[in-house]
Amino acid sequence: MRGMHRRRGGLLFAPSFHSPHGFGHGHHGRRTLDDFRHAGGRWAGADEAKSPTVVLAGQPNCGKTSLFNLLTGAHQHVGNWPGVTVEQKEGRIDLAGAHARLIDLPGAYGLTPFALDETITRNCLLKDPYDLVLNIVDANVLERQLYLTLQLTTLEKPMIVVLTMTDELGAQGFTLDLERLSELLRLPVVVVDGRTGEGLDELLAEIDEAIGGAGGFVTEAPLLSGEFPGRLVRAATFLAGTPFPRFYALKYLEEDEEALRLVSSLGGPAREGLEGLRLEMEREGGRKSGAIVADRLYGASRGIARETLRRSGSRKLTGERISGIVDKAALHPYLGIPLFLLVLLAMFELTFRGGNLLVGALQSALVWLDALFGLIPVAWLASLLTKGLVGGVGNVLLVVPYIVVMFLVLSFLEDSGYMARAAYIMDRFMHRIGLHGKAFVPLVLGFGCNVPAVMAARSLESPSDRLKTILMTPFMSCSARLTVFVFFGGAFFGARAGLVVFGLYLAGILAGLLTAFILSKTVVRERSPGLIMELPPYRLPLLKNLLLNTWNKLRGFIEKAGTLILCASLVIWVLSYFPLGVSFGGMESLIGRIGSLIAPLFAPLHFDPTMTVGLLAGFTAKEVIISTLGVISGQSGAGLRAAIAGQMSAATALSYLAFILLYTPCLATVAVIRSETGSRRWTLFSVAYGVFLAYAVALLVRLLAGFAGLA
Amino acid sequence: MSTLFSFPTGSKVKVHHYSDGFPLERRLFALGLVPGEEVSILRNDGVCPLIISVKGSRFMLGRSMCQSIYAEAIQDGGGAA
Repeated sequence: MRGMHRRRGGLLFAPSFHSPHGFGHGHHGRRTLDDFRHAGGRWAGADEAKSPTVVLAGQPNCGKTSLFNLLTGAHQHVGNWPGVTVEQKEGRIDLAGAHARLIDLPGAYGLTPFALDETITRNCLLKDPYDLVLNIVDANVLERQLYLTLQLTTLEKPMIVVLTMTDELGAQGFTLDLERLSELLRLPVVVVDGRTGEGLDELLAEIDEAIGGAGGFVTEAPLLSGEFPGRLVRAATFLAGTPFPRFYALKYLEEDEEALRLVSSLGGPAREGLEGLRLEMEREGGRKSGAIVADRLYGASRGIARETLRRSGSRKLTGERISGIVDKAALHPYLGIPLFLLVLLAMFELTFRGGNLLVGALQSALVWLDALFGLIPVAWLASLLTKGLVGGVGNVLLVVPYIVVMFLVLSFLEDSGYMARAAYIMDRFMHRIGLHGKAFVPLVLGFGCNVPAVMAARSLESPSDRLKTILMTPFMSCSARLTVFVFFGGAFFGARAGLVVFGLYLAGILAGLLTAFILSKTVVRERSPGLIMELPPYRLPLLKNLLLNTWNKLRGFIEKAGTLILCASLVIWVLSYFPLGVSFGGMESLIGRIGSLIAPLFAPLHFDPTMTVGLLAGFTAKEVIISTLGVISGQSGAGLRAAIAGQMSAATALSYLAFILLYTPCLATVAVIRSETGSRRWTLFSVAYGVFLAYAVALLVRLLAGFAGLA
Repeated sequence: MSTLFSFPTGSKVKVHHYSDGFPLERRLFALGLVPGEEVSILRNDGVCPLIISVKGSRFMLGRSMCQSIYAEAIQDGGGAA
C-alpha cells in the first residue's frame, strides 16, 4: 500500500517555518492571501526552515486524538493554560532521521466553516505553511468521511489517508479493499489501530518518505467519474496562478463567501468564466449550485465507498445492542435528567473519596518539610519558607490528588460519548434560556477549567449563542475553586463535604442558566438556530488518552503553582511580614491595613480583613485564596483547616464559598473572554456582573444560614 | 410529503428539500442530509430533539429545525419502534 501513486521530483512546495500557535493568535488569519502573493507565492519568512510540519485533519469523533497521542506520545503541549482542548494542539513526531511538528486541527465535517472551530481548521489549511496532511478517516462511516477527504484533495498538498476503527468495521461484517481505495483516491492509505498502535510503523515510514524526499509528490485529482471532475478542473484553470486554484474553484461553485470575494477581486475573465460555469450547472441541475456540489461530492464518496467496502460476514451487534440499552435510559425524556445528576454526584463523591485516599502522603510530606524549614536559625528565612512557601504553594499543591480524580472523570465522560447524551437531555432546558443542548458541553468542561471551556464555545454555530455561553461559563465551578472547597468543606462539613460541594456546583449551573435567561430576554434576543450535533457511539475510553489528557491539564496546574501562586504567596508574605516588628499578618501589618481598608465593604457579609484580602488576591486565581489564608495563618494541611474553622462560623464560611463560586474566576478567564468575544464591553460586563451576583448571593446565603442557626 | 418533525420513531424517509431561506441548509448538507438521501428517524418522542441516522451516523436535530426539512416517507414507523 506504499506510495502507489506518487511521483517524485514534481512540484516543489514552500518549506515550512516555525509559527507560534500560542493562544489567541496564530489562527485568525494573521497572514492573508495578499501577503502570500506579495511574497511571490511563498510565505514571508519561508527561509527560516525548521522541522517539517504535518497537520492532522479529520471529522469530529474520527479517532483523531488517539492518533495524535500515538504519534507524539508525551511530546505534546497545549498552550499556556491547563486543559486546552479546542486549541490547536501541537506535538513532535520522532521519525527515523528527523523530527516533525504535528499540529492537531479542530475536527471539521467539511471545508466550508459553520462554526469558529471549523474556521480555524480552514484558515490553518489555507494560510499556514505545512508539508503534509494526515487525513484521519473513521472506516465505519467511510462515505461521510470521504466528503472531507475529497475536499482536502483539492488543496493539492501531499496527503496520507489514515484509516481508523477498522476493527469495528469487521464487527459490522465488512472488509475494505485498501488497494482499490488508494487507487481511487490516488493517495497512500494506511490502516492504524488507535488502541493497539498496530500499523503505526507503516504510517511513520510513509510520513518519513513524504516529507523526507527531495521534492515531495504531486497530488492528483481522485479518479472520479461523471461530468463534475472535468467541470472542476475547467473551473480551476480560471484561477491558475493563485494559491489553491482547485479548492477555490470548488468553493466558488458552492457560493462560499470567501471564494466569491476572492474571485470578484480578481475580476475580468476569471469572474466571468467561473460565473458562467456556475450558472451552467444551475441550469442543467435545476437547483442551486451549492446543493449540486454537495450532491456531486457525496455521489463520489458513495461511489468510492461502494467500490471498496465488501460484505464479508454477518453483523455482530453486541456493541450496538449495549449502546442501545444504555441510551434507552440515558436519553429517556424523564429518566435521563436524574441519571445525569447522579453521574455528576458520582463525580464529586469520587473526587472527594479518591482524593482523600491519596492526599495523606502529600500531607505528611508537607508537615515534614515545614518542620525542616522550621530548623533554619535565620528567623525571617524560616518564616518565608514555612509560611510563604509551604503555607502558600504547598497548600495549593495539596489539592492535586482531588484535581487528578476530577480531570480523569471529566476526560472519561468526554471520551466515552456520554457528554453528547448530556447535551441531548439538557436541550429542552437550554431552550427555555434561549440556547440549545450543544451549549451545555462547554459548561460541563468548565468544571475542569473555565479557560478551555470559554474556547469550547467555538463549536457553536450562532454568534449570539456563543456569546451567551461564554458569559455563562465563569459560573461553572472550576478545579481552582475546588481547592478552596476542599479546605472549607473539610473544616466545616466533614463527611458531608462532597454533598456541599455538589450543591455549590449546582448553584453555579443555576447562576449560569439565570444569566443566559436574563441575556436572552434583554440584550441578546436573537433566536437560537437549534441543536445540530452528532451522537457518537459509546466507546470505552483508552486509559492512555485519559492519562495524557489529565497530565496535560495537571501540568498546567502545577506550572501555575510554581509561577503565579508562588509570586502571589511571596507578595502576601511580604505584606504580612512588614513593617518590621509587627505580629505576622496582624492588624498592624501591611496586609492587615489593606484588609481593614476594604473590610467595611464586606461588613454585611461578616468577612474579616484576612478573608477580604483573600478575595482581593483571588482575582488573579482562585487557588491564591487558599495560599493567602495559608501564608497569613502560617499553617498547612490539617492545621490550615483547623485555623479556618476557628476563624469563622459555618454561616460565614458558606457565604464566603458562595462569593468565591460566583465572582470573577481568574485573570486568565478574563483574558480569554476578552479575546474570544473581541469586546471590552462584554468583558467588563462579565467581571462587574460576577462581582455583583457574588455579593448578592453571599448576602442571601448569610441571611438564610443565619436563620437556619448556623451562625 | 411533510416535515421531518411529523414522522414518528422508526420511519424511513427520503430528504426532499429545505424550506426557503433556511439558514442551516449547507450545514446539514455537510453532514450528508442532501436531497434524495435516505434518513431513519431513530427517535421522535415529542419532547427532546429528534435523533436521525444518515449514512451510518447518528445526529441530534433540534425540533424546530426539523420543521424546515421536507421529506417523503419510504416506510412507516408504525408508532414506537
